[in-house]
Amino acid sequence: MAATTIASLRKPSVIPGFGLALGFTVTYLGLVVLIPLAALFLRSASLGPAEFWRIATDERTLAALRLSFGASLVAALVNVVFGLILAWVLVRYRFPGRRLVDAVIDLPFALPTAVAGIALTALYAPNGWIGSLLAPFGIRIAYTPIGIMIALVFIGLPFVVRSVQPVLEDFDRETEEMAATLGATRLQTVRRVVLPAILPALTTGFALAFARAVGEYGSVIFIAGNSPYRTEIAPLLIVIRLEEFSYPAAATIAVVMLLIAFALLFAINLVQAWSRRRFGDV
Amino acid sequence: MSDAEFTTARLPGAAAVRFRRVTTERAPVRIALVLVGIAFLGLFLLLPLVAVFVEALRGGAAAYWTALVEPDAAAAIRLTLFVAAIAVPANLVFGIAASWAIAKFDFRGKSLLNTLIDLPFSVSPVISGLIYVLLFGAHSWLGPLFKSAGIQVIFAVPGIVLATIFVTFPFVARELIPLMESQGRGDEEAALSLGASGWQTFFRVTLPNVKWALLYGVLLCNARAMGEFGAVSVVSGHIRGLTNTMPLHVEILYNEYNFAAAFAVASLLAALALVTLAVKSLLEWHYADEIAATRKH
Amino acid sequence: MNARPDIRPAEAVALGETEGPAIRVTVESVAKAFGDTPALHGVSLDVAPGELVALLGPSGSGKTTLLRILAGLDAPTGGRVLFDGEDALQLTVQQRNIGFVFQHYALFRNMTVFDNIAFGLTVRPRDRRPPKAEIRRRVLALLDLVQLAGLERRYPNQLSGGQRQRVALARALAIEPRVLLLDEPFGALDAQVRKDLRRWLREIHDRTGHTTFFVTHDQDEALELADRVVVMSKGRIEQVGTPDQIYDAPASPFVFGFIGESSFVPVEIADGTVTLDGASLDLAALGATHGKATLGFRPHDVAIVSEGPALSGPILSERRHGGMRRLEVEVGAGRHRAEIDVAVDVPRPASGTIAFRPTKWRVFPA
Repeated sequence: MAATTIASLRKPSVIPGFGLALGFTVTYLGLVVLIPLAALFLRSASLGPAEFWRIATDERTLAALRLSFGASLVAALVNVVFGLILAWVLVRYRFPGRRLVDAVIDLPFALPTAVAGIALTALYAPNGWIGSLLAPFGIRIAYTPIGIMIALVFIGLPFVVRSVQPVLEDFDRETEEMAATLGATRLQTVRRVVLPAILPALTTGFALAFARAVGEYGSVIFIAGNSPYRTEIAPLLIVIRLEEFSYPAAATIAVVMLLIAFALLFAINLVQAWSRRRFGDV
Repeated sequence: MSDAEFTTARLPGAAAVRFRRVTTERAPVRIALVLVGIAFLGLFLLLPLVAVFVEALRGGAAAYWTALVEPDAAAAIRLTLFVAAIAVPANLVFGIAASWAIAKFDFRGKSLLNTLIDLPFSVSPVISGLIYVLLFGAHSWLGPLFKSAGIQVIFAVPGIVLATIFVTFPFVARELIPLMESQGRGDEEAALSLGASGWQTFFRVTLPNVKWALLYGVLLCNARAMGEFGAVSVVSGHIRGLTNTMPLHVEILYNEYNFAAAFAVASLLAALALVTLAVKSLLEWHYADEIAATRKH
Repeated sequence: MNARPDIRPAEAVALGETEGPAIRVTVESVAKAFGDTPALHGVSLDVAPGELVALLGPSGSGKTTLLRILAGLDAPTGGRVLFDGEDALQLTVQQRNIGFVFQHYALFRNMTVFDNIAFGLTVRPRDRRPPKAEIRRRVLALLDLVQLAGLERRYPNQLSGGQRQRVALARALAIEPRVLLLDEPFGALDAQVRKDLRRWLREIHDRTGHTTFFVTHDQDEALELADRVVVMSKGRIEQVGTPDQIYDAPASPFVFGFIGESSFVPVEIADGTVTLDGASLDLAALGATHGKATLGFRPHDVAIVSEGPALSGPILSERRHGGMRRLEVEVGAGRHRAEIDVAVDVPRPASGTIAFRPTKWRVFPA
């Protein structure tokens, strides 16, 4: 009975195992991901719109969301600039240690966030390696929004590099030679021909780095200082509300964050689809 | 950057002219960009890594060793290995099933399924933990049910395992799906037409075709499973010796100002990251074509 | 050879022909090596203003390398390139003012057709950049010329391969190039489109009169299109000549074998005639001296004979070849395989052997 319904979903194929594979996939996906996520939305929906709105627009919540999204935006933009430079250098130039640099790019993917968090704090705390150099000038990094941005730059970098790198590798050198024969200077070629071609990939990298930064917790909380209204990120506020057993508040902040993140990713997907239709597969 | 600029050989009497390849930048620009890139990488990525090991060994080798073998640390290491030993195989089986269904068949809702598999990547780790607290916690619908059956989920090991599975959910599938889609169905159809059974086809044709990508995905999945902090922190309850994984243990030690011990445990995790990176790079150098093209997570 | 038949002055300006007449291109002993691998061994060539020259050769013959050196995309390791007597190697790619067309179009896919064609004009320094209205006028005139009027707002991926290549040519023409360089311009297109574009390119050339080089490995294309054909092999020029000279008077066995269909039979020269297995074939040695040589002829330049000196042997196979029947024959004691064409109504000899004489032939000293 169930088998026939599943089989009718698909086009005929001689390869066996569709029912088993899809059945397992959907069940597992449902149990591990979909039902728990639905529970979150149900919990916040059960509050009613007025209560939801009150929590979502609470001063402290708004401050935390502003900080999370603002710091993530700045960090992602920094990563766009340096990620592009690194991708460019790795694809276009040959220099000693290139493969090592290429491997190191992925460090933030591999290094546990808590480890990154305490390491960055050790560097940027007022008595830390770098912090102690800056302290005499009155510059504080750890326990300020700047420290948060540094942690978010750390975790976001590989998203930009790894998005841009393959597109840059596939970019046709003849197109650049063409621009030169038409009289374009190197700068004009890069600005008007190469950069527009990798813009969709750069946008993807930006979006991934931004989305990751908004949700980031482990690498930030050690360096952030965590003082309400000033250096308290939204994920931390969720944890605090949980520890206060204020589940509805935690669920509401989570829902707001998820909705903004999903809307962002959805918008990026639309842009990508549009640019693919218009310019061909980039 | 060697052959981009050179002086062309000239007929006698003519002045030498500099030839510049039009597909690259002038040498000073190239050198500056490389230096900027390396400096950025060194400052933001390498220096923190160095800091971990330096701080870990600040108290001397003996203190380092003590920090690793004291009972709470040992318990944290055991728990981390235990959690990974469940989460990674679970997601491995899921990844294989999902990629088999998606890459080898056409069915309605395929692209939706593809999107849903990636969903955990865009969910904050803290929210990943939160959803299980809401589902199994004391004030939830299921929590009391499980409790009456004698199973504690939240603030216990099952919750940690669930949260870890959630955050590492897409890793294996993400590596396998694009690769298996690009490989198509011809090999499987050929094997079946030669009389192989479904399982034979899978183990003797499909699996060898994707083994390096599979290993790659498992590697990334494992690194994340052992290192996950946010999600686990929310569901664990931080009970020393019982529900503390290594990253949580690092946090506790750090918050107790026991920096040397915190960095000692952290250095183990950093070493795991380095091994992961090394194996990952080796796989990429040797089997680039046999690993899927998308390198994003 | 050169032609610029009655272009009205206004049209000439619109097509960007304000730079004066086409130029002479002189290549003097140009050599190029990639590392230790030589790609060109001192190649020399003189091309008259307005000439359309094909660089023809198999892959690896150095034809694309020569083209890229002319464009300034690669530097030679020795030799000189002169544009109207001026040393072109002193000029950067940008200064050379070359119109280049790549096999795979290399269109800017983030730009419309209009912006692609206008690109070369819009990147000029402000003082040399034409005003917007002028750019527009020129782009539209070029679109007319390449028969793509009305498509200026399309993006490259909305065009067919043939249309893309025409945009690429219009883009190259827009900068008022001194020389046009086409690298396998039709290599990526279907057979029918290739033929159409070939004729069309010849017409464009006759109207605009640029000194033009185009690289191809397709001999039909070279022979049909070019004023002169440069046959290249292994980094050397084998022969330069008009299509008739190349086809009828090939200077080397390579050219003979590469252009058109051919059969070769090892022979000996004695007393000014060609001999096979010691017997004279009564064919003139055509300047070849005493000793070993190679006799070359084309399958369709043979006559079937029943007596007298001839090449003869058993027929190995026969198959239909266009309007003729092609036989593969094992010739002489050395059993060399040769191909000949016979009329379809010639009956297959009962003996299974056939005798023939070349009516046109070449003899190359071994």
